Amino acid sequence: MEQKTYWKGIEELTQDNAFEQKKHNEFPETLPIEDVFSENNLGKTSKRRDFLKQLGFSLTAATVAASCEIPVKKAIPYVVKPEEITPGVANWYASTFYDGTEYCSILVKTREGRPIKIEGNTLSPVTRGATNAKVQASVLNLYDVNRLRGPRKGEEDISWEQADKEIMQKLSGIAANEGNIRLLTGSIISPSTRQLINEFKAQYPTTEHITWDAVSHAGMLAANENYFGKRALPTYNFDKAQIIVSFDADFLGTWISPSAFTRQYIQNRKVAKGKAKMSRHYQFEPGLSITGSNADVRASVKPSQQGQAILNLYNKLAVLANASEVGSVSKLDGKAGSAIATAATELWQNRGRSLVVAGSNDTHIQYVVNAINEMLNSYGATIDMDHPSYILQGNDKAVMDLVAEMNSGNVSALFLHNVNPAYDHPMADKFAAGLKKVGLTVSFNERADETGSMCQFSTPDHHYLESWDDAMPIAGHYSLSQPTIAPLHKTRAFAESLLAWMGKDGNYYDYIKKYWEENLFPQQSKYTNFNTFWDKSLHDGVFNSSAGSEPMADATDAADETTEEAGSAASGTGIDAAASAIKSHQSKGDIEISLYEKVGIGDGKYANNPWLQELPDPISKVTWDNYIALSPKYAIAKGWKQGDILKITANNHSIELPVLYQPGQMQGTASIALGYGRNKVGKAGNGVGQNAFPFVSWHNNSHAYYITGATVEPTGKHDELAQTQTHHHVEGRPIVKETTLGAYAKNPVAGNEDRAKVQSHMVTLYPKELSDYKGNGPHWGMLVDLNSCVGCGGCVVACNAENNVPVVGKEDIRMARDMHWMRIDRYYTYVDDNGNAINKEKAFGKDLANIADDAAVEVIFQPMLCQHCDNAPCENVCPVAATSHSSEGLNQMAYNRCIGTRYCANNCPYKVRRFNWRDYTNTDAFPWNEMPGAEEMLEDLTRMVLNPDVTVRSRGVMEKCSFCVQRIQDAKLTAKREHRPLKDGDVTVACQQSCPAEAIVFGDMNDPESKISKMGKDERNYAVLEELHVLPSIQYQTKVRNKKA
Amino acid sequence: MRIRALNTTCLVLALLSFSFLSIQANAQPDGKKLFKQNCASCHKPDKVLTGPALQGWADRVPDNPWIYDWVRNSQKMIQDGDVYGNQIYKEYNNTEMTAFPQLTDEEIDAIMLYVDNWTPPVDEQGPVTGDAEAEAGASPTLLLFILLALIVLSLILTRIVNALDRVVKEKMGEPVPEPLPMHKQILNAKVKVAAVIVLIVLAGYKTFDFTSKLGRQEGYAPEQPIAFSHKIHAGINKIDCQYCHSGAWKSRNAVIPSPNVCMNCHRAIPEGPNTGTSEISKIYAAVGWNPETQKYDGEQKPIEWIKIHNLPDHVYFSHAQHVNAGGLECQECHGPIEEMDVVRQHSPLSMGWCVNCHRDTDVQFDNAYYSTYEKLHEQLKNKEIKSVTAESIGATECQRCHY
Repeated sequence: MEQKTYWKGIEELTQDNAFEQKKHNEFPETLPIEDVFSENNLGKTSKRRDFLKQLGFSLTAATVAASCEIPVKKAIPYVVKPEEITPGVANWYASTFYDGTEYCSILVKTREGRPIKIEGNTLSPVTRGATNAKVQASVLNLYDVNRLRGPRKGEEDISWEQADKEIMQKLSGIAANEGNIRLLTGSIISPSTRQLINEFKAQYPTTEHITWDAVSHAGMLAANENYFGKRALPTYNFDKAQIIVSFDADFLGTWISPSAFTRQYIQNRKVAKGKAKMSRHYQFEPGLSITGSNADVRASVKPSQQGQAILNLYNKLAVLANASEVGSVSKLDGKAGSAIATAATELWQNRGRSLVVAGSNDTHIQYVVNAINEMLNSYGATIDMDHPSYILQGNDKAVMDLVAEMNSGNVSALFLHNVNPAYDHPMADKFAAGLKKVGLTVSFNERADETGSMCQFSTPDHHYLESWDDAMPIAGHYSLSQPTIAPLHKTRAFAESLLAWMGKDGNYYDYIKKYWEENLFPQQSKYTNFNTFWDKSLHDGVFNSSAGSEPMADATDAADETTEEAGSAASGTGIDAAASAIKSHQSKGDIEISLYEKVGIGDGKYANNPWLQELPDPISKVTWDNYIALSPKYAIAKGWKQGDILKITANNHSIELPVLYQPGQMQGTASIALGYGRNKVGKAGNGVGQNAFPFVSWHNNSHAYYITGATVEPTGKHDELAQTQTHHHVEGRPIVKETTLGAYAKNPVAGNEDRAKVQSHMVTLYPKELSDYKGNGPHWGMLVDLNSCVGCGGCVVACNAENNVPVVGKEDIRMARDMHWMRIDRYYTYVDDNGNAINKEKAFGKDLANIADDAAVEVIFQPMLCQHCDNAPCENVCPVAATSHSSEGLNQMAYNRCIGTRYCANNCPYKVRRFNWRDYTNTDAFPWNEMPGAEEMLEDLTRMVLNPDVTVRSRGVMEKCSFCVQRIQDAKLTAKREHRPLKDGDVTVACQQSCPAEAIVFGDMNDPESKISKMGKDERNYAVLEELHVLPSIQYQTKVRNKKA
Repeated sequence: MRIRALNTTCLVLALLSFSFLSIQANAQPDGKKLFKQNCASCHKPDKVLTGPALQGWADRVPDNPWIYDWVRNSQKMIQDGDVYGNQIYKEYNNTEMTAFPQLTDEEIDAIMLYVDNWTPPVDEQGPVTGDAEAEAGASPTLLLFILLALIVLSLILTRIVNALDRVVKEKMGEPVPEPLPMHKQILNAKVKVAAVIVLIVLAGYKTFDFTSKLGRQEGYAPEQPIAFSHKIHAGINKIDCQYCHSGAWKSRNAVIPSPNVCMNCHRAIPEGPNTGTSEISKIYAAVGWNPETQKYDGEQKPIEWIKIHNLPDHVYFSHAQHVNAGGLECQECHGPIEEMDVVRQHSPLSMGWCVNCHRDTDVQFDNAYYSTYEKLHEQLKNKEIKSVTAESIGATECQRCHY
């Protein structure tokens, strides 16, 4: 086997000249002094004497200012202190995150009454304590300055009384004339709200409730309705699957319930001594997703070929099952074809322990997938249809009908809740036109977004952290949301607005409580008193009904009619009808565009969240933008360079996006992320990227998230992507290590053989005692399992929230000034068709255009953060001793001492130190200090999200991961107060807590009983750049791939 | 000032002891003591509190034995339909009076006698004013004056010496050199060099001293929105510090008590010894308490205290660590707070001050938390090392306080 060559980006692989030059400069940009004195700023050109004058003036000014009186500070206590609040002590509340696309049971940390951090709730059997980037970042949305401050009529602020009066007046008029009332909402999983909607419909009988998901699963819902008679998504158990085959379902990143799936998936991916077993994962997809990058076998399939590929698999399995094949299906060739053949064999061998999923929104494809899973005995094992999931309920056909109905003038009133079809509907123009013909339009959206700003009334709903709510994500599993802060603005719960317009008194809290008392309390027998039951459920955040399956009170009307219609096509003759519908689909044009969601931005709901905008895409490492991802070979053949702006035209719509060379992207396909190009979301998100929703096509009564026959042409323009991947360099060193399961089973040191040699060189002149701290307190350390890390980036956002890590904006990212304390390095490597590593000469010779197969790319993710070296090279170069070592093994950073020489960053072998080039969080009032996007973080309201236990760093100082020292200190203090030793698990750092894959272990390496000590001797362990003898406190574990080689 | 305060204290003490003695001499029940023990939380002799003012009670009650029954069990009388009893029950918001069945007739008489003879206390002390300057020792002006006087004196002496010298030389017939002008005599090269050196050293010291104290506020004693006296609360009345500063036990913040904590006592104490009602009424205004109606019916308004002990934002300080885990007394950092009418910052709160204490404080090995430092503990027990201080386990490392 060849030695693997890892590379971070195309530039590194091809040794691009500019890149080579750049990589030798630690800080690629010079000081912006010229910029400061330029025309735009001080209106002066930079002269030496001017500079000296300015310097003298500033020095005098600073001296005068410093000798001024100290400002008087106030301390204002509560008038009547709530009993449960002690200033300085965090309170935790169990709650529920659900935004219409993803469900997560959470714990909310509040300080002095304001929520500042979200963590997973381990009591929930649905999410098991997992969170992801979106959930972590959702706390920042609460403090978004662009939220509406109260009800509005058009652009004018009105009172709730006035809004209620005018809306009810119109509503009663419409009801009297039997005008059509339509309620268009995102998926609603709150049983109380659904009951309330039913009551609303009873009072206004002309009301229809329609559900819209921006990224729809309507095809799957229709297929299940047809197959099982249940219009719901199944509950998946990835932890029970030995063989997982996914057709473009990004279940670790964006598909249905990624954080919960990640936690399940990873159970069978962890290996340990004596447990050399893991699941095998096949992924068939056009672009490189994080799910694909974690797969053991990955093959390219065009979006339009997906149905054909699935039929291929069906036929192979049908042969094994002695069932009848579907006729005349053309066979896939190449790697995809052979991968399907082996997958089929393995699936069949593991019947009852295998799982096939597909991301397609085509009813027929999902019907075939259901048939495959049934053949494999997956139902009842890896798939649970008895406890279906309700988290996505969108009905594409019903919304299409609604658009037509609106345009025909037959809708008298339209209420919109948690939907933004004027932005994310493929027929957004038609929707907008229709909206103007509706007599009464009311938006419950939290901001005056693309849809809300066109409505007559805005009656904003609370943020979920301000509101009571309940949820039933999966039949039998209930959870509660509770307010963690009083509403910041004059908003009102959606349900309370409905209650008001039904002319009913009462608040939503009482309504939920009543619903729980009537419906859920009888389902259990543990508590005889409802209030005890309620308090317990509220405390835990979740309630699991022993009564089991219970259908969701169906409030969606249009469901039945449309699914019948959609179903009939397939149901008539079952699998053959589905197959023929799939086969009839033809691809046209030479390029197919696949539309996908990004892990951070998703469908665009969070476009104004600077944390998510700045979270590098797990694969491309691009921030603040979407782009057209093309295979390097394809793009080179066309003569397009990375960053060239292309014009993409389809569906009578065209957008211009820069090119990204994406290794692993299939030839003849392109990928474009949805959720960008919003223009009415707020300062941070407006104008970031381009909107690709108009490219979503209509196919078999549902939306298809790809398009064929698009034209792509160059515009001659060029734009630099704000990419973080090329900021640091590996120089071909063994930073990441991997092996195969077979090799690992034979020899647990596999892939890590060179460590013994490195360690044999470790000699020191110092007496041994110096490095032996055992019995002298804790020594903190971390262990990262590269086999578990899926690269989702949730930890990065969790770290941002915990440690007040600033947002720098697109411009500064381009200048390599990203501030993330934790980055997920992503390494590519080439393999041949058999999965053997090949060096780059073999892969493409000297010219990238000769590249063999784009799918032949493997990916490793490596979380990289301060390694807290015991021989830290940064410490001994600091001229002011601002960074030093603690007796507990922490590499400490004293911000107030740092004078900003940046020697430490230069000397850090891991490149994990971050310099504050600007005052990012507490800005100076200079315009050039405010970066587009980052300025959102400077608002007083937004700054409420800051963790009061962590210093906000100012300009000119260095910062880096502190191992969440505030959490360590807090845990130590708690132990001291309780007069007990620290226990393993008392300290959980933010990244570890948030990791849905449980890839990070943190603890005291001096405690022989701690998990990290016990795992510390594993053969897979290695430290990065161990040969430098910097003695890092972080170790990594070799990645193991379950592939044949 | 200090002497005056001492005098008044002595006077008060003398008066108190005198009254104590005089009461001891009397075998009768002590009306004042009984009143304070049983009645004072709801009644005042001259003013309405939770219950009515007691002076003039005899004119209001229907007959003399009524008061005995009422004090021992008022509820029974109300239920039995006593007319006057029901009248005052209604008048005071249907508040039940606590029953005192243990009080004898004599004791009740003594209480009522005390009430009738009670007169408002005469303000003996006069208002307390903060006059801090008197405490200052030798002022810089004085020092300067002395220095000046010394210089003048030395000049005069030099002149005298010179004059005598000249006279002697003249007498001896030696040539008398032309006397140098005064300034040249003084400013010879040696003096100049010495002066410059002294100046540099002095300026350097002054600059360092001044700049290192920038931002420090030792002795800071701002005027607060309410003239709250720790002397009265913590000193005279010996209220535990953590009754009000309850956060000190479990939080980084000691917490300034919210006015509802003040109301626990001040609902019954509308007047203070220093300032009468003027300051306590500010608490009432803050919580919206109406002393007339005895109800919280006003608007609430927070009190904006002026923060005295300010640490820079980059310092993490936890009261719980020091008070609870460390077992420090408040006074160790805050000084004789129980003697302060106006709180001032006692300690410099400088980093050097913090670090010095961390260097001197021994680790409390009886706390099981420190069992993780067993090696140090062993060495201490074997007398290999003299002490294990907070510093020995890392309490002077940067990231104990800066993160």
